Amino acid sequence: MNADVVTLEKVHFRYPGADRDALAGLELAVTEGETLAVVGPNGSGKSTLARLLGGLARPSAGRLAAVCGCDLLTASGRQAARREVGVLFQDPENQLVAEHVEEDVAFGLENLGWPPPTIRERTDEMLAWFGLEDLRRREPHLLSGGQKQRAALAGVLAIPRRVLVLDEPTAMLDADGRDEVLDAVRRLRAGGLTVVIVTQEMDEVGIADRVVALERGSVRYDGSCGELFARRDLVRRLRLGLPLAGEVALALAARGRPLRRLPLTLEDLVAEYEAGGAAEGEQLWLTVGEADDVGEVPRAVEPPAPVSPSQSGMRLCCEDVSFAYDEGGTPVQALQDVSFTVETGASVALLGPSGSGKSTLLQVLRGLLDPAKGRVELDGVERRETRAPALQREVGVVFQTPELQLFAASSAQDVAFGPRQLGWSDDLVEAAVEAAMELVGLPLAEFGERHPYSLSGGEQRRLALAGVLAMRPRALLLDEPFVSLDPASRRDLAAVLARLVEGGTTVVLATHDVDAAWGLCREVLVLDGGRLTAAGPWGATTEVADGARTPSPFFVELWRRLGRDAAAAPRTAALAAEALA
Amino acid sequence: MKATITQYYPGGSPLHRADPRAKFVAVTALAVALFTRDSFAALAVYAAAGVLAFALSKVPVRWVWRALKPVLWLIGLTFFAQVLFAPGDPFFSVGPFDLSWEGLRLAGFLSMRLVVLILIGSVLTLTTPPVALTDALVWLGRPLRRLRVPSDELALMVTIALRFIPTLLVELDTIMRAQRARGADFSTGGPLRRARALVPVMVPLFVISFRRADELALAMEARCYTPGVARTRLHPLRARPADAVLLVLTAALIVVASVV
Repeated sequence: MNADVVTLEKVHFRYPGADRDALAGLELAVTEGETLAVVGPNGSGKSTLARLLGGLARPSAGRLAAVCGCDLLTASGRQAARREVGVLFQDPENQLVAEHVEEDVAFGLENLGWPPPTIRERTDEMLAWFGLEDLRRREPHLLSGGQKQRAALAGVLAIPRRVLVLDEPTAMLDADGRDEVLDAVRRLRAGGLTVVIVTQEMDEVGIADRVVALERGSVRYDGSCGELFARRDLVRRLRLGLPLAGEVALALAARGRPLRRLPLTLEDLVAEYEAGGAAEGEQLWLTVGEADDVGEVPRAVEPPAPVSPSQSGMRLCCEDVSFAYDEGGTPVQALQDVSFTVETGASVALLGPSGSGKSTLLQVLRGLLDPAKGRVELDGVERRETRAPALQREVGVVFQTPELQLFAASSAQDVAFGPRQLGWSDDLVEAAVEAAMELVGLPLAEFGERHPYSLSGGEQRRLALAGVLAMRPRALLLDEPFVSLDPASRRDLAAVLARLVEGGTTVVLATHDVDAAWGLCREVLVLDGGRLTAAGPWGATTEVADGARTPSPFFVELWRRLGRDAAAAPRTAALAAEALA
Repeated sequence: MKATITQYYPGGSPLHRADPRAKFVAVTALAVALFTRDSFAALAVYAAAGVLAFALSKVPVRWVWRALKPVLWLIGLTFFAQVLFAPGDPFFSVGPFDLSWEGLRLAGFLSMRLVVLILIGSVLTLTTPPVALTDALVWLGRPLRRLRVPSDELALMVTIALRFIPTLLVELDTIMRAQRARGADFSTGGPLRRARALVPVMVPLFVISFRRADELALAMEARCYTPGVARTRLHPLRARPADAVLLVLTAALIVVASVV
């Protein structure tokens, strides 16, 4: 039995000026060598816990708070804890301080006053371990997301650590970057390091030996991953979700075909399904009395009467579009000879790794960037025609983390900004604000007067979306709308987008989340290095996505593994279960 | 997309390899000397030295131009102010303004001196990474620590500011584009209206900057950064014989310029 490296008893933490504790009587123990996942909704205290464990936050009260023998309740103890516990944060951009990768890796050792030759040795060792030798003289801003995060991790671990805390380390990364970071974590784990990983990605929870779920600053669940996901009440209350494999199993159970175990990965699901269903009383994971309400995970946003913001979509067309950024005098090609057409009312997934040109393409479509060459047409009107600006105003764009662009003193005012800029009458603005807020599930009566920053992360994201929808766009372009939302907030947002698609709005969704896109979009565009590598209906010709560096959706992969026709893969867990039952 | 404000041009020339302290001292000495000698001949010597240094650094001419461009208005302003207000025998008068040959000569001299100053200063900033420059400043500012000036912390602040300026410029660009997509208009109306139009940009930019600053501070603390505690460096500054050569050449240049 290994000793505990983390012991928290009745620990409280409150941010200055907050009206409630971010951590409220938290109890937690972590054993040496263990890997622990921490989950919970936006605002449940996960990040605060990560900071606390790293000796970076002073508990406002606590009976006992010890990490690696350091007392977190004292200043000297926290100082000492910073040497034992490494913390990797979500955004690598905010962690790289030095000018080159190797100097950044060395930063911690420089702070500890190690002699230069020893720093050199340790830095080289870390660069080699993380496969960064070739990038040592590279400037951080020239790295890919995965490389940045690996460099930041190398910098955190350059100081020999006993515990590694990861705060949503993959939230900002594309699929490749995510694999890079998770591989590194697996290797560290195998090397015996104690790892605490805070995550919103339900697929990542399986990496841990144990999972802790937080709600309003205290532990609501502490146990195995499988058991947590089997507890429907908790999953719902904590705004969690299931890995898609688990959702399919639940939907199967709802159709009277329970599996023996709750699968959490595609491999598990295939194995369990092929082994045949569970016999009577064998499906231990399905708590008695809950069998009747399993099935599709309920959506927090109840679909109201359809209040489509627009009656018609828009046809978007690019022909031989090229675009280059000017980078210190040298042009960097972001788009190269891109041609495609999005028909009126279509829903299109725009896929491709980070830096493949997705954001650029969205901005070119909206007329925010002028391509060096090529035609961009909105409803057949070319961007240089005099009628183009009016049409561009009917294309809404939701930028990455749009909540960062909220600025007004009340939610309603923020949403009203766009319509007012368009010079609409007060009545029209008011009606547009009300409809848009209703549509995103933030009714004006309840949320209108609230300050945008007082809303939760998921609510802020939807409020920002309302600000765009209030302008009644006929086409909506979204750039990574799901990033860093908790699973329930993602479902809420997906439900809003699904209603827009049903209402006839043309939707282009740029995302790393292939599965979310699969549920929403019927067509696909794949960019790689600024070139369009696939375009067309998604599903009937699923193969298009395969040549490119984009993983295929879960359901396509599942259908393939089960020897079914991948072209007919289902869009939702319920449809999958219907076909499989 | 990256914005270049710290205009370092990576390279391997002798000037790139020189110790940043030596380069900083040389350029400072040249700048002072440039301003203490009012002769076209001396100016020509410094200009020639500046051009030679550029040739040696192998930095493309385009980059020098980019360094010069933002201060052209300043040079132009200096020129006109001198031309119009300098004393001398006027050969042409308009209202209160007199044009004289002396004024033109002085204006030309002062403007050219500014150009040469920027030329020489650019050799330093184009061949020295910002971090090396701050390292040099820390070393040179060490005596100030006796006066309780926290020179190390100030230097780190400058380094970080330099590191984040491009990031925040990109952020600013994104916010402006996002708000423009929501109908914001930054280019029409009077000054008051334009200032008001910036609210939807400035509020988010400040929020983002504070958030970044907060996260950065945490990430630094998490890597055991403690203000005021002595740090070591992976790449300590190391002076080489070539740096002595650079300083001697600089001294020689100043001597030559003071006798021509």
